[in-house]
Amino acid sequence: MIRLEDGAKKWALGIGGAACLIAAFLLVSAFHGNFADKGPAPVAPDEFAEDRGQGQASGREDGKWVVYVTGAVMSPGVYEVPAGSRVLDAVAGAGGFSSNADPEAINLAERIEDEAHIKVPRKGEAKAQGEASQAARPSGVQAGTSGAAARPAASSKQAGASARININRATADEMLALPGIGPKLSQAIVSYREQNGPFATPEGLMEVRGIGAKRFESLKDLVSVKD
Amino acid sequence: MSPSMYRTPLSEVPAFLPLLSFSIFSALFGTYAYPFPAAFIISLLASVGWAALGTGHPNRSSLQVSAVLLVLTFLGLFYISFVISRGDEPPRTVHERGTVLSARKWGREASALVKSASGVFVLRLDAGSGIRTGDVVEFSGVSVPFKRARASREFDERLYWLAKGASSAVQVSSCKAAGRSLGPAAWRDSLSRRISEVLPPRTAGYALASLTGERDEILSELHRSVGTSHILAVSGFHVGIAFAVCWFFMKRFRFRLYAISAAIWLYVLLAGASPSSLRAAFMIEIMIAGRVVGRLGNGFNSACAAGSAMLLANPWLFWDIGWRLSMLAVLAITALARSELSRPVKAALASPLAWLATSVQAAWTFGSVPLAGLAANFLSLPAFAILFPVSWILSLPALLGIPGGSAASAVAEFLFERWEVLSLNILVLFPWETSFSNWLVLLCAPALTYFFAGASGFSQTRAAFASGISLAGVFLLL
Repeated sequence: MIRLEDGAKKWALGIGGAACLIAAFLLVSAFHGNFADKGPAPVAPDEFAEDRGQGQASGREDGKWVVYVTGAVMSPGVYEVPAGSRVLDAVAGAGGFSSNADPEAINLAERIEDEAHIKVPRKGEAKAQGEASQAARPSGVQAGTSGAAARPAASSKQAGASARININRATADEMLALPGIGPKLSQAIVSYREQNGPFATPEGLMEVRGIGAKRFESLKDLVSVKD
Repeated sequence: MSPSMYRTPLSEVPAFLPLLSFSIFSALFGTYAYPFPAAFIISLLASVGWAALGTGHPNRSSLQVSAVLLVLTFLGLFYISFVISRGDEPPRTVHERGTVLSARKWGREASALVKSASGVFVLRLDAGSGIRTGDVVEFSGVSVPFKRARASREFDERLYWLAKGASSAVQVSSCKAAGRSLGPAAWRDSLSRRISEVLPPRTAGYALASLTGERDEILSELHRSVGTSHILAVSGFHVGIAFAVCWFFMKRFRFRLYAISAAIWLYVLLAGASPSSLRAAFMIEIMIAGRVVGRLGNGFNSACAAGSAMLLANPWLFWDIGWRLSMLAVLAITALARSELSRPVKAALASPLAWLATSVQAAWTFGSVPLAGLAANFLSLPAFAILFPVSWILSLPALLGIPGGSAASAVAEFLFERWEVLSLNILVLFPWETSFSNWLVLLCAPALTYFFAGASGFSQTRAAFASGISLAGVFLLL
């Protein structure tokens, strides 16, 4: 057996350690991009979470189905889901149930098919119409209907896309629909307006204590200063 | 032979090795979907390589420590992979009774994190449901999986709630309050209401942030633009202040270490038990335990041990931005503390180094990082180390309803207002922001590697070598 002297051991360890680290980097590099990137970003802190919770499907990929989700969901619209999905996946894709959904009036386990239209009933709706089971059943896609057109003001970001909020007229409660605006900021906007008069431009919002350039960036397309 | 020759990563900071393995494994297996064997081998190679490269003078005990660490890391990696690969719970009908740990606005609606006998759930509620933190609620509905992110930088609701210990969301069909709990959540809610009622706005905002973990939206925006958001998130900084305050008042008390330990956990629970505050409390416990058994504390190793323990307790914490930033900052600061630089140099370098350590992650997550943070943090840390305890003391008379208490809280308000003016002036002087870029990564990765290597007992030559490998590796990956 070869016995190494202290000096040789030191060198052997150093070289071996460096080789391990280099090998680790090379392996990462070799595999990089070879696997499906699940891609979850680190979770943003609380103040960002509420504004980011509602996403939209992006570009179409192979093996995906396109479904249309309407009714009591957070973000009704057209979504891509993996082939073989169930109603549950489509509802999750649309941001989940809205608070007025009747979760027991829809069969979440039912399989869907490409081009399906899934309508989630609101509380009392299924009972009133006596057709809860039909409502849950996928139906054919409706030609010419786009997700954006069907989207109600339930989502704060989407509310802005269809109808801007007039910051010179809106009440503090109405401004809560804007992303990143909570009770304190909406009250601060109203107070500023009362003290300084109406906003001449949307950029005037940045004069309100608590609204900086970054927050304004997320608001600028959602607000107006006149009807 | 210099004493530093006997310092090795295994003797100095053994806890760094599992933390390194767990983090690399979580990133590769959890984020980038590497197969288990690949992620497993790469994470072990990195740890073994780090230990070997840093060991200047091998001895028999190094081998024993390595064996123990290797077994622990093996088991830890298997456990983390088991938790991460577990699928979502299938939908089911739930009828439960539980305590609301936190209730908050969620978009235009509200959400409540509820702990019941069968797990932790997130209830989706109407904005006007009136459910408060600390309520005992009876609810029924359908449990559904959390929504996943579709793109790499999109907010992932699932990871957000899993990091908070929740197992699934509940689409509520009925939910009613059935009383108040007697635990920390109810105390937090009561304190929060009292603070909001009696204290002036800035003092209330800072008191809410430091004592109950709640964010005031106006102060949040201000601190975010100046790059000092961490002041508002209960972290090691706040727990450290609480520790210092407890130490000051209990230093003559015979059983002070036990009393301080209890007081710290009480504070952490009251402040919402955020990952960064839990990490800090773990570190303080390790330090106190070290004193009890007569061993000097090693902040860097304590931080690593706390981080590893937390990842084992809840592997989803790896995707919590608060946990990541807190770990990076504390590792940088404790690594600096172990360096042989003079105290004034360490004090001067602490803030820029913490900024450097967190800048890549912060820029990646938030899009950009204000450069004003470099200057503002230099002032904010010492300033708030005084402002927080002073404002707590000045707020106490008003909170207790003592006549004249509002005059004392007005003094705190004045001090916070002065700080606000100062920080806005800093922002005027340094209006630039840096966005995420490969250059930022190429600057930060080798610098941090060098500091971490130094703190792990590497000789200067080996630390520089490790830093060079890190630079080359990052260059290769970018």
